[in-house]
Amino acid sequence: MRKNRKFIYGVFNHPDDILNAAYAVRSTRNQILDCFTPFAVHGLDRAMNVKRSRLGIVAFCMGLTGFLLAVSLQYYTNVFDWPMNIGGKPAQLAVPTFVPVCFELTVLCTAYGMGITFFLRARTIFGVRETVLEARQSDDHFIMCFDMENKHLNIDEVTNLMKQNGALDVKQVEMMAGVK
Amino acid sequence: MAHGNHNIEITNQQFEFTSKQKMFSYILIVLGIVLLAVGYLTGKNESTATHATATEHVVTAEAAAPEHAEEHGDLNTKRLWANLLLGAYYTFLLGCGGLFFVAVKNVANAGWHVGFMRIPQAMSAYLPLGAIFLVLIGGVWGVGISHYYHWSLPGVTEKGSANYDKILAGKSAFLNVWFYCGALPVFFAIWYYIQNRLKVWSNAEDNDNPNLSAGGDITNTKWYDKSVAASAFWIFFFGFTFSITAWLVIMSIDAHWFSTIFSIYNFAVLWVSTLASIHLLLIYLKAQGYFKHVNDEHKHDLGKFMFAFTIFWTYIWVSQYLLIWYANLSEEVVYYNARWTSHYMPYFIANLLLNFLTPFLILMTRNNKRNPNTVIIAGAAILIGKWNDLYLMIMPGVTGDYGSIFGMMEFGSIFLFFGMFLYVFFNALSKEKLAPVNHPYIKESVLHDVGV
Repeated sequence: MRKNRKFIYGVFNHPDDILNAAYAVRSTRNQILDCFTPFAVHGLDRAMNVKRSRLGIVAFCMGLTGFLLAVSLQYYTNVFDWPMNIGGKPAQLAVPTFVPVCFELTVLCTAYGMGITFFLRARTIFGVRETVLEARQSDDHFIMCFDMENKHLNIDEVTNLMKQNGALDVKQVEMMAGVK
Repeated sequence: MAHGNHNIEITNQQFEFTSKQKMFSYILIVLGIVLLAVGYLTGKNESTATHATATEHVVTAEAAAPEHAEEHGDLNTKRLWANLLLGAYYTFLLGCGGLFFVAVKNVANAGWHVGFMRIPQAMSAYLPLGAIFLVLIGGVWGVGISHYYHWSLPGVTEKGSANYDKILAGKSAFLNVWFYCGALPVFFAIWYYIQNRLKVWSNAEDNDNPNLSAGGDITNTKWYDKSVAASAFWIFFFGFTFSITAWLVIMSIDAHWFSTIFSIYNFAVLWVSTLASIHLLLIYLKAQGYFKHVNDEHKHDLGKFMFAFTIFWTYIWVSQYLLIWYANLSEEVVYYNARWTSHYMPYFIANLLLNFLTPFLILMTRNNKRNPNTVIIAGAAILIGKWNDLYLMIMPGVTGDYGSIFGMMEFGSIFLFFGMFLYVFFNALSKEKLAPVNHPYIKESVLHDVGV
């Protein structure tokens, strides 16, 4: 669902600046909505108090799917439907022969599943439109964004904190955006 | 926690080799010798009972390739030799692994490890001593004096001799005493030269750039650049020469058998046990109050390394096993037959449990990689598992089924060699600054953050 929302954001020039600003904000009651950076800034997740990603759970489910797919495929084709004798190995259930296919299908399903889940969740997959807050966020600048409808947000305080920590400018915008 | 401001503090500590640690190493060494001696002297009595079954097993298992078909000699002494070779080879691998860790990080321009770089560097100090023991036990004793390597028996290459073996005669250009006692020491000498250079340059670097501790920046990377070049050469050279070492020292115990993946398999053993050792030593030294600039972030990355290369080892292990199992060629299958349809079967199963399942399950989650207690369990499983792996590579080929009795000699050899390894390690560590204070990447290492 998309609706009209108001944001306040600061633009930073250096990863250290946004990291310091995030630590400064963390010691107040204000809550950062999100940060947009051209590359992964180490430690920023911790500074923003971001909850641990649940991508690992997705990875496990995807891996299990791939494993079960591999087992059932091989069982059906090699044991149930048309038992095959290759190299005199037991036709019933030659477990070692199952290993490579299980391994590969587990890896394949985990990798693709995690990738697609991530793109879906980050709204960057083909066919999904996401509002761009500030053109520089996809170039070489670091954006820290607050939701102005948050009751705990003290606009003056976050503006000052961002400026003190080297924000080039602090802006307020109103735009159509997705709601969590 | 790594804030943005870059005030780094590297306490310029010096490791002190305390008398307690010295005593511990001495006790390990003495205990090892005593256990070996007692095990050897009392071991003779049991050899007659097991001898018959051992020979029987070997004959059925190796009907296709009549290896060890000649009489077995003194099995008790063979077992002693195999255990000494195992201990010498295992600790030698750890020495190589320490050097490989430093070299590969240099070549990769890595920075995160610099804070605890002295640990692998001190491990590599065991390289010369380990090489001497390996050549003495494997080459002089195993090849030269007692001919425990099947291919070193007198007359193997002479037609008409009772020991003549056509296959081994064909391999004699490689499997001979000159290669073992001549070429291997030359390789090891070159390795030692590089190890020594890296140490000397690293120490020179410590005293060269006095600006950093006063808050300045590093401008002189002369020593580091030299180390990178030497490391790049050594890794290239090591790749070939370590393969030759693994073939000669371990694979040639079963001289008829061959596996093209064997050297990378031995390398996997080397690398995983090295990572586990570095991590365990780091945890120990941190508990003693050293390495204050190394934190959970570094340990997390070391844990990831252990986890990842545990899977690497398993991948290589499965690759070797699966192809041989599937192809079912008699000259290849004998190797696994002697390890599966014999008293070695429990070791074979323990191999997968200790080297794969235990560390894989324990080190899977993030918090377990950062928790010293879980890492100690996983690391111990890896180190015991790698001993077990080497035991399976060496023992069945030397003693047949007899050696699968687990006893004092097995403990003795490990105590003896790890006692020496620890002594050399602590001694080398106490001679250098604990943090390479003028390393170009020391700042990066102290500020290292895995991000989650």
